[in-house]
Amino acid sequence: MIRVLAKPVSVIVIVSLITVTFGLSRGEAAMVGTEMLLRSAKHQQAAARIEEFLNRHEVQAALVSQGVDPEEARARVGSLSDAEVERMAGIVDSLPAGGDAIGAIIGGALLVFFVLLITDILGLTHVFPFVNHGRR
Amino acid sequence: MGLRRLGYLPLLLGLSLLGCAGVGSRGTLGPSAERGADRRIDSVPFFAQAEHQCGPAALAMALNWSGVAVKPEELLATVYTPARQGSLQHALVAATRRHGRLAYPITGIDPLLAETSAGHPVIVLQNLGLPWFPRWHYAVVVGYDLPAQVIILHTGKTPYHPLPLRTFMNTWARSEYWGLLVLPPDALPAQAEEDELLAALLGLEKTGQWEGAAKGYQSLLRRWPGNLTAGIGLGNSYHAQGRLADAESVFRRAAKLHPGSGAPLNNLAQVLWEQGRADEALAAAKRAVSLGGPLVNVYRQTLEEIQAALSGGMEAR
Repeated sequence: MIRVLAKPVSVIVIVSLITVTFGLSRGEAAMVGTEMLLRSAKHQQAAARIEEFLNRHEVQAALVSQGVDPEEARARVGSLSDAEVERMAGIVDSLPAGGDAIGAIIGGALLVFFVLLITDILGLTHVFPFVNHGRR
Repeated sequence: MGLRRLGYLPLLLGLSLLGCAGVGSRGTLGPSAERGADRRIDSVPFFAQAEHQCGPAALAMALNWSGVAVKPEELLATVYTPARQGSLQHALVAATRRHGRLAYPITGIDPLLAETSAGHPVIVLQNLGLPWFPRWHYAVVVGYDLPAQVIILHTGKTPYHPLPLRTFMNTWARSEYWGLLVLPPDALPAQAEEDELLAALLGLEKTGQWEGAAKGYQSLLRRWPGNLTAGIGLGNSYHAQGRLADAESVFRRAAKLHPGSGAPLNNLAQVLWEQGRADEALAAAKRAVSLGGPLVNVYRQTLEEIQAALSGGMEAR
């Protein structure tokens, strides 16, 4: 669904980005930004800017689709550098989300229970707090 | 950093890939120059996690240690992703920066022990389950005991939980040994690397934490005085705070130190212009353009703007 929507939205975004970029270039401070300097050796500026914007947009949309408030999603992505956003783009759905600790496996299959019990005892996993990890 | 490390990690990786087959604990870790035999950091407060909320709990522990008084509940909105019933790594990084703290990623057991040994707690991402049955979990490493081969964690509902090193490595390997330092912005990691530190400080800039960024760039410059990017970053951070005179002196110093780069001169021109010193600004902008380089278009734009403003009769204040 997001993928389907992303394309037309992206086109609109690109157009508005270009407008904004060129609109700002008149009379705005022409400072060399720290990030600009960092990547100046690697990329063409304009291309990098559009790519960066699209990445940000995509990651933000992915977070929103996972239940994060849109404003909050924007703030989170806004705190990341271009390189960090680039590494996330396209894989937000498969990134690990740390949440569990106390390993009550409710409704889990018996097989899963036993496999994890054995791997816990072997020290490969640490799902059940009641498994006492022996010395080696 | 020597052969030891190179030899050890692939072994562990290999073991974890093998899964249940033939798991041994052939490699044991000992003390070295970077770490003592054992260490326990007592200054990390413990917060028991609520269900699915190890992310906020782990971050709250690290933030409080670094001097930010915040409770896990207050972090929930900034790190939790509801549909995933958990917290993404990048959300922890972003939230760290939003509290004005430096988020510095580390990878691998040697850096982990070195930082812990230096008294820096480290947030780690473990998969307590298996690749096909993941139980992703954040914990805070607050110590280790190498003779006993255990890592000491603030985890779940247990403070100072001693976990056998082998189990810890098995569970940590599944996140590719992902760790995060949460430091006051002017503190340096025990094993600080120039580029990593720059990237971390850039993150503070992106978040608009200019004061913290400035402090961090100062620390970096004390260690690596010749770093041009940090010089620009420091000047930009002052500029963003309206500290034009400070920005000016930083850019001047950077221009002197890096006579081949136009970037400090360009930014100096801008800062001079904003202070109403049109002639000096014009001279600096011209020098920047004459040096050229990949950012010469930016320098030209600065020069043209100054020239246009001057010829348009717009007097600088």
